[in-house]
Amino acid sequence: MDLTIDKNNFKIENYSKKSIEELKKDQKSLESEIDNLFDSLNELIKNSKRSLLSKDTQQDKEFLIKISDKLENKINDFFVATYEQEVIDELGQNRLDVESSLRENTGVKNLSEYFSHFRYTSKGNQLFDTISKEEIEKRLQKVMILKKL
Amino acid sequence: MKLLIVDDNKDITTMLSKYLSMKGFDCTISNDGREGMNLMAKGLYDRVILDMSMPDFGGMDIINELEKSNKLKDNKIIIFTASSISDDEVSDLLKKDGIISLLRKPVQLNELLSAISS
Repeated sequence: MDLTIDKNNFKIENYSKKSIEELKKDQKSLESEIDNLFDSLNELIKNSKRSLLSKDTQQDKEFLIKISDKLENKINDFFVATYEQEVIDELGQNRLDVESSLRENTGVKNLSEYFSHFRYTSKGNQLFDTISKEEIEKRLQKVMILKKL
Repeated sequence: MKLLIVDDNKDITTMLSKYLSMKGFDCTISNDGREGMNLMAKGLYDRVILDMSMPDFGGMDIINELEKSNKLKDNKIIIFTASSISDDEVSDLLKKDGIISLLRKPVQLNELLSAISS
């Protein structure tokens, strides 16, 4: 599986394409690749120090740079996968909070307080980028009408 | 250079610490907002990497508390925040003494390294 992620094309819509289990699997796989790269890099640094005056030095240096670049790319991918997970976790928690407000019959006031607070959480910002305020109000009104029935 | 990394996500702090230690930085980790704030209040670190989104006591709480006790300016803070934070919010944060840089998540290492060395 190709785990390379382009940060410039990173969009919230992409979250729905992968389940949290798949993301966790990606993250574990990246973590293990990164650990291997750290090991290779440390080994190479040790060897390079030993052979500083040998003719292999230039070759070692090039190899070191290559592994170092690969390591950085993998860590960047790891950060993207971890961030996706964070967003999914937070959106999941928010859904539970909304459902609990609805179950407790606490009405639009609590929900609107909740959304006001949610707006100020960093991940909330992202969700609100994709859903307009009018749309949320419309949905809240619909929920209240349904609850009255 | 002494770095403090404050983020509730242990995967992130472990990975950052591994990488930045390899780059020669002396890293301290805190996975708890209040603990992180207490460490920041001591003003012992050359740079602080601070995640805004933490449960219970987040980055903004830390900034507000340190500002109240006049200790924010003793730090050089690099903030990690969600990519959709508005330009106004970014500019308000960057106006505060002690905040030197703001990086939008997902953060990339080259951006982080240049923020640390700025």
